[in-house]
Amino acid sequence: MWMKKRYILRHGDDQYAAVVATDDDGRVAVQIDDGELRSVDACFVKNGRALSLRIDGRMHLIDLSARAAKGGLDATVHGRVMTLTVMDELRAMAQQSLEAAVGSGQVEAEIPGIVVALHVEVGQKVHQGEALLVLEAMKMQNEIVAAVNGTVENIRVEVGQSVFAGDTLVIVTPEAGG
Amino acid sequence: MSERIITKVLVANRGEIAVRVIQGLRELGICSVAVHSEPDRTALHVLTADEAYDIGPAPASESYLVAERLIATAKSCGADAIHPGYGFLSENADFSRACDEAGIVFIGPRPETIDLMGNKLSARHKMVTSGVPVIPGTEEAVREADVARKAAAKIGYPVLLKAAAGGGGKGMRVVRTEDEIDAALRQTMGEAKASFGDDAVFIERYIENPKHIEVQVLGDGEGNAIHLFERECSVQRRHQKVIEESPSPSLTPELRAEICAAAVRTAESVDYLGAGTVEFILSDQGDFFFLEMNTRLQVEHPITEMVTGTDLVRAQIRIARGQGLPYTQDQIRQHGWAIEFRIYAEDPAKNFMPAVGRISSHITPIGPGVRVDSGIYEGFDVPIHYDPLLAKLVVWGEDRLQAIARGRRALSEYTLHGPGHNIAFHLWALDQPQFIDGTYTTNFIGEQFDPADFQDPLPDEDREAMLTAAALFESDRRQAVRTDDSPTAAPSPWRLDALRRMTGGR
Repeated sequence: MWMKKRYILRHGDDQYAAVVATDDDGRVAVQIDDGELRSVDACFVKNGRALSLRIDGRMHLIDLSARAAKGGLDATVHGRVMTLTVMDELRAMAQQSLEAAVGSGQVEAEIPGIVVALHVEVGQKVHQGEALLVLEAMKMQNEIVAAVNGTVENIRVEVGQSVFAGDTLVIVTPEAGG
Repeated sequence: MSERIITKVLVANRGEIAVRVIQGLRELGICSVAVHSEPDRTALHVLTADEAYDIGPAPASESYLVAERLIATAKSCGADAIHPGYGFLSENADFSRACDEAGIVFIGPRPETIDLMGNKLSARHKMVTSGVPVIPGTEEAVREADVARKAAAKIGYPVLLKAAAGGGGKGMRVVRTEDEIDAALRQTMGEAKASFGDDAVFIERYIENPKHIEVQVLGDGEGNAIHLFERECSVQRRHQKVIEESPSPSLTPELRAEICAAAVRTAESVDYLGAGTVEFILSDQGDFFFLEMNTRLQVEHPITEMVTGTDLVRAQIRIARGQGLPYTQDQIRQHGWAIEFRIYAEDPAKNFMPAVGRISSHITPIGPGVRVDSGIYEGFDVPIHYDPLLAKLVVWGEDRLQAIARGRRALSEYTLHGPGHNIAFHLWALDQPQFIDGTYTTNFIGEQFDPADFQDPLPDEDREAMLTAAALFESDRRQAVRTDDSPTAAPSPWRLDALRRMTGGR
């Protein structure tokens, strides 16, 4: 008897649905999106940090590292890294409703650094792509831009302040309907 | 030159170059001393060295750049020499002078040479008198608009405005017509003043579609120098080199002989001591011009080591000991082809935004013709304070096509997790026709690379395998959690044991 378990995998803006099926004899089959359910011979290797997959005789070696964030996973095949978030269906649904409620006006630091310039004030209207502030890390200046059209509701940092990855920098209230 | 005793060397640097120098010292039986800032206590160069000393807080200006502290550390631990690596104090004449005064051997050229070559105007004057071709341009600093207009008209447009004290691409501006020059001069002078504290600017002919060719030299300090052939470093981003190769695919044997002879002439004209690099710009007409001399070991020195079968750190030590040049010119041959890929903590898909964080996986390629010079290890936290260069992958092949194929193979075996990095960029570059046929210029990245098109370079088969692996990894991880929580739960096909059996155990 086959047992099926569904997962949602996210990579940037792309989302994939995966079905992992197993049976009592230990056989495994995987289906990605609308593809066919394909039988997979999978071996954990390198102390459980890599998977060797054999699919129709073709070999694939995938190095995997869990990230600090829940469900985050770095996967490498042939030198190319994909950073994925893997969730079961329930969590994916919860996540989606949360994101719909908060909007995408919260601007977070992707890397630790120092705020060297602020280009906006509270109450100011901003357009998508407009520079909000400049973050310096590793001697490089990075412009942080608004992801949505809206109004600056809150600025959580000041010039000269050090920030960590994941810190909220600015909150933009998205324009209604935008 | 009288012989100097070197038995213990302080390495005034960090990262991969400090590790490489320490490895060279160990092979020579010389005691190695690392220095480190507070957050670098666990950096690879510190773990690798025989001795290590704390030299201050994280910012380089309070640690790696504090000359007095480095010299005091060298004296107190009994080091008889300092190797400066590249960057930091490696091209600081005052530091070299202070080492001399403290009775410590500075492994590099004399302070006068660093001073002379460190200033673009004085270096240029020297080259003109030594018969080394220089780019047509002004001999004196320019500060007035009418002088600039006259000079530019004489040189011919397009011209390049350049801060005299500049470097690394800062304070440079291309001017294509006369109406742009007033504003461009004001802006360049402003930048030069802000970045280097000196607003002197000079004007030279702008070379369209240039290639960057440099020649490795060694000098004995008494007017004798040899070259170790050229490197081509035209794959650059914002004047920062990304991929280098040796030999250059752009030189005919005649041009190679000429450019290497010019580099030797450059080194001999200043009685150059130690290892250095003479940089040239090569036009699409086959003319080459002196750009600058780097008075230190270069990041990309391994490709020269691989094609010439030499060890440049060992050569530096020998010369610093006053034992003269380790090779004659006749002993130096170019054999095969080498390419270096700089592994930077910069994400090409995010427009090369620098990344930091913990290295969660670092699996480096091995096998024939592969060398990795690394400054990191699994579990190391890449700090935000320093250069984003993590490691260098260097490959050697019998010829250029084999080197490219080997580069592709080695890059595809490289796993680096944690901070974003540019390995996928290198794989992209190796597939570009301009790289494969060797016609690429310093405009290569700017013209060919579009970060917006670079979100997902994966073939479908690889993507599917990765997604499959991720789903299996997650289902196994989940099962492990459930097993721990409820050890008495009824057996299910989802038990970890079952999955391990079906996956052949781990």
